[in-house]
Amino acid sequence: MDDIYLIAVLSNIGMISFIALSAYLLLVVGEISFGQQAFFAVSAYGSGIATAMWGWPIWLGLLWGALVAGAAALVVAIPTVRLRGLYFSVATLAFAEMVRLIFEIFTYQVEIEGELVGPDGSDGFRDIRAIYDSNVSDFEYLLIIYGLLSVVLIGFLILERSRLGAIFRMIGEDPLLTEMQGLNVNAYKILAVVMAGVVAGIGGALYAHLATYVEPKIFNVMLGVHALAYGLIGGLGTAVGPLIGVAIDIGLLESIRAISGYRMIVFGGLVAVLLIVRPRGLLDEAAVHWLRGRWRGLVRAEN
Amino acid sequence: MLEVNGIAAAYGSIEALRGVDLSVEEGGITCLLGPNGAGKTTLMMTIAGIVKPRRGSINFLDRDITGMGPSGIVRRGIALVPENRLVFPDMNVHENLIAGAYLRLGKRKAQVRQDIDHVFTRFPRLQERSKQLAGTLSGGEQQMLAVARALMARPKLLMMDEPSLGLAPLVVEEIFRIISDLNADGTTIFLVEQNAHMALQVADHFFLLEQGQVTFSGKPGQLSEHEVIQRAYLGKGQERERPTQDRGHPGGKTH
Repeated sequence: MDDIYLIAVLSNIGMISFIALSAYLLLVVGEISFGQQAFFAVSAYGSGIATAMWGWPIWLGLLWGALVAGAAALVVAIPTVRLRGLYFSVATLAFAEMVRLIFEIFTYQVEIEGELVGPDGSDGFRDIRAIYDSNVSDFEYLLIIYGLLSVVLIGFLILERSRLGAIFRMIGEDPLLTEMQGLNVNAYKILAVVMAGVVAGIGGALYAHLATYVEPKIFNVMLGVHALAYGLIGGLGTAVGPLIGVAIDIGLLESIRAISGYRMIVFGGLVAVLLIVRPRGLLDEAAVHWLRGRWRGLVRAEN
Repeated sequence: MLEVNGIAAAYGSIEALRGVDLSVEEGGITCLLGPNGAGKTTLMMTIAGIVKPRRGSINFLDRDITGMGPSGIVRRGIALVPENRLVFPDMNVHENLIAGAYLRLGKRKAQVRQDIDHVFTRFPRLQERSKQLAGTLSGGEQQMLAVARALMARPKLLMMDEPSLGLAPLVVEEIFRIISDLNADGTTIFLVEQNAHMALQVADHFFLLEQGQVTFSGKPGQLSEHEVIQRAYLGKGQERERPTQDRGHPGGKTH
């Protein structure tokens, strides 16, 4: 595969899918976060520091980025988990802006082979070259992205059928009624926020190494808003939903040059229309329920 | 079994309960009647741990449960079938039932499966609709599902908040038949009702709650049904003070 443009688009779809899944997980537990870009950013910087400055191998850098993002999410989750609705959204937005502003002034550089490497405030963090130094081609990196995405997606699909996934959905539908089933809703919500932080973190670490350069303004609130919109477009009934949202936005609107100038208009319009017509997205719970019913019917007919 | 002593609860500055005393005897059906806004739902929510009382204490099976959270209280053996928020609408009937048994699903899977079979025998209509999304059930079926789910927690005390609300008369009769059956099988029941006529037929003991206080405690028959209905709907205290006008409670419903 040597179409550089196609590889770039697919890589982009893959990396953004992580933050879309991250925002989706919180939508499932009934919370709207405008701050998932913060975990994406924390991991982008964290993993970049690990590989470019500390000389860690890529895989360890990715793992480290995801862990740092998870830890940051835990810090956010504990004070905000009691907040409901709008208050949680505002708190996550404030946290994300705080993180972005910290990176605007965060300077931590070391000299490597005569050059200063490391985050330099608003000038960003250059030369995160680990994948090029170890001769990973763009296509191989694409496979790494989709390999990790598959692992995370399979994890989500298993979660959906598990007891934990059902509890997440119950909390999303009615936290009080869930509490009345004897379940500790706040503990489960903290777990969801941390899991979402880790998933966004994987995307952020992958992003930093493909772009080789990160700067604070990449991680502004629009990234988080898009992440939310993907789930709302694609559907909240299954983890495949947000991926459909990403594919529509980046795969179609941003990548087809003839219409990319109208991207935000079409995208914004699409979100507005869907929120009215299908408030829980294309693949909402009822659609997934129907599809599963059809699938069972087909399987039965085969036998 | 359940003793409520001097419970007071308020929403901001509006006092919904002003020192409520009552008790629920093991094995019976106890009923709480009263007009809109008397504080019936607030009392249920307070016992279930959702509303925190300002004063007073609640004992269940001789242990103090005052101020415990809802999940702790469910663990102690009290299940509430709340008014209005009955089911998880986007989950199917079977998943809703499982939801009631999560506390023991890890260790006792076989027992949970057995309980589901048992519930399906009691509510055949739920079995027919096992894979249907709960939000698409009729009002009566949702009420049955809510009761069935509460049973999945194997409660020692089942509390129900207005199970007949908004249901057709035939369905109301069915719900009350189920309540009697459950009680006959050994579940203690504490029921909040507006439908005094039906409630008095099944209750062993009943309380009248008016303006945040218990104003009568006794067995059906100790008051004429006429008087009970009058007080359950209108509130006797108010009627005596202001016999000609303004019978309704100004605070409206408290939930």
